[in-house]
Amino acid sequence: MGSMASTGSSAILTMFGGDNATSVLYWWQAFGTKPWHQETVGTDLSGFGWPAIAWTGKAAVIAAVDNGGNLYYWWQAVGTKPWHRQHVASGLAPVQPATIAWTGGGGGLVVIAAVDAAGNIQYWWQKVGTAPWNNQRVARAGVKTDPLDPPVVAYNPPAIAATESFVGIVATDSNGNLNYWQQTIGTAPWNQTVVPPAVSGRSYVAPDIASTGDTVVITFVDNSGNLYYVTLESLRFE
Amino acid sequence: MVAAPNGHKPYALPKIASTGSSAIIACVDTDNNINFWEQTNSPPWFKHETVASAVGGSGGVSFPAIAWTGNSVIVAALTGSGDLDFWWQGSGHWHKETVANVG
Repeated sequence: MGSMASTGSSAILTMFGGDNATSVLYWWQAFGTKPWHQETVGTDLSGFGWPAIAWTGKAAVIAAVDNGGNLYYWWQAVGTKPWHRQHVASGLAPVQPATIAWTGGGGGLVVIAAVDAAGNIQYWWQKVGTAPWNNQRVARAGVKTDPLDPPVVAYNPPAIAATESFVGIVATDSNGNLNYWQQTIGTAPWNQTVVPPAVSGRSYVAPDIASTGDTVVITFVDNSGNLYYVTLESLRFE
Repeated sequence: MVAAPNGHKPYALPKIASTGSSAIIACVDTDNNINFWEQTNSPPWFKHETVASAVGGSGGVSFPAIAWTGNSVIVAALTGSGDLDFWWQGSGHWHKETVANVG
């Protein structure tokens, strides 16, 4: 998920800014009105990577990694001013983008993914109204994921989407493959699908994923600038 | 494949969202255009529109974002000069606003 979302009545945006990108900023604008309203979400002298935003129905939630590799989470309840900060984890790849989503539903979860300093894909989830962040490693660098490829040196920053029944994460790797992982809510295992480039010499980059309510859709490009779209069905889950 | 860069520079940084019934995609290309596709029910399966052309001048444009409001598509992107720009789709046109300059 990206740096913009809709609450249903307003557009909400986040981005780093300020001197040397040392702040995470937030803007909102009610549809059909002006101006844009700006707020400072958080400040860290080390600077931040690209922040991500989602809307839970009752709060705006933001995640970002600072230059020291710390992953932070902020939330602001609808109709209130303060931004509440939580330190989620350390040891992330500095200033790389994190990704955040909301599962929806009555027992909804906020879910975050990011790549750590060793090139692994890490995942955190938190039930609304609770404090701890629960962590899982989704994928480990240094492991072969395709018999024809060398071990993955590192994964690139992931994108995450969620439905009421599962969480999906997509990322490319150092072999140029597209990787998709899916976990059913309430279970532990991640099921991985690896999609090698269709043409020799190509590599996939910059994937993004979105929830359509009961499934997810994915887009990405290759190193020749071709744009792709896939669904779970076209990934041929096995 | 949604689109090959025929007649364009390569596409980059695609972002995706859903309207509930179709997928919507925004991405930049290396001519600094912001492109938009909406999924359709018949070939070629995606309809293309140019949200804005030659955005950001020599500084270019990056970091596109896309969302569905429930009624329309909204797109945002950051120019090389630090403008955070926002477009919304209405009456068959894309309308631009500058949200802020983040330096």
